[in-house]
Order: sequence, then structure tokens, then C-alpha cells
Amino acid sequence: MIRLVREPIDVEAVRRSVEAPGLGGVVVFCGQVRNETGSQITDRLEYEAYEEMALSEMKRIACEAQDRFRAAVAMVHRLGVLLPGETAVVTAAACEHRESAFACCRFLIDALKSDVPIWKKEVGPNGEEWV
Amino acid sequence: MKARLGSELLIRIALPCKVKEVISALASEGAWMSGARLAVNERFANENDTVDEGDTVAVVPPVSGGGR
Repeated sequence: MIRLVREPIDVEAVRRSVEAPGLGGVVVFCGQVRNETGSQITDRLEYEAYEEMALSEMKRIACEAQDRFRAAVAMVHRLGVLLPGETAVVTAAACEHRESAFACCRFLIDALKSDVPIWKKEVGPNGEEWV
Repeated sequence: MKARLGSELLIRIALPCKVKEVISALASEGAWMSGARLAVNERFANENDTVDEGDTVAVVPPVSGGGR
């Protein structure tokens, strides 16, 4: 499951999408909107993507992860306006054992954050800023 | 970057050319920032890759990243 969505992410559906009988370890990472960054209060975040490229980068990362960790993987990112406490991104990895599942899930979220063209604007009482 | 420059910018450049030439042309228009990358046809490009007619070129400012 590789998706960009505008509605709340169904975390359980993402987890189910990587399950398979031979895969004994499933790791799911959820990235939540924080209510503050340092001393800055966040009222909401606005996520925006270069969608065609974001999806193709997510697929490329997923393929690399599948090969490297022999994993089943999923990545879902939400776009639009999100409030503190909401889930912005979910990555999931299922592997034969837990060690590679943890490593794979970490690889997915790190690669997503460095290479997938998604940006967020923080909006708070002191104004707004793309970060 | 988009807030400052808008989402499209027209530059004139002879094709085919290298990615690094596109980046210099953008930089001379003030349309480049440190940490940005150029994508050609929805893939990140290296500076010696070629850009030709019909290619889709996009400036990708640093992505949302965040803490670790």
C-alpha cells in the first residue's frame, strides 16, 4: 500500500496490508503532528506534495526496502490541514523476524523524510512558516 | 520558495543541456536555494544528467524532514 490521502489514515488497514503468513515481525511507525516545536506553538500543519513525484519516490523506496530487507512494506502520507495529535504518516514493514522489520521500518520513514517531495507549513499564534 | 516565486517560472535555455546549467540559470533568476534539488521527469537528477525537449523539470526545495 503506497498512498497519499486527504482523510485520516486507517493505521490498522496499513498494518493489515503488510501481513503475510511467513512474516513474523511487523513494525508500524506513526508520525504524529506535535503541538509545539521548541518554544513555537503549532495550531495546525498544512502538508503539500509534488504528488506524481512523491508517489514515484515512495514506490522506489518501497522497492528498495523490499529487496534489501526481504520485507512487505507500506507507506501512507496524509496531505492537507492536520491538527496536533493527528497522524501525518504511517510506514509499516513485515519481515520474517523482528530485527529486520525494525530496521526496514526505520529505513522507510528516514528515506521518506529525506527524499519524498512533501512539505509542511506550520501555522501558530506567531504566524506561519514552511518547514 | 513557492511563496516567494510562485509555482512556475519561465527561463530560456538552449536544449539539450545539463542539469547543472539549468540550476545556474535558475540561480541567476534568484530561483534556487541551498538544499534544493532538481527533478527531471519526476526523478531526482544528477548535475551531469541531460535535459531535453519534452522533459518535465521541477525544483524540489528541501523536503519536510523534521527531527529524527
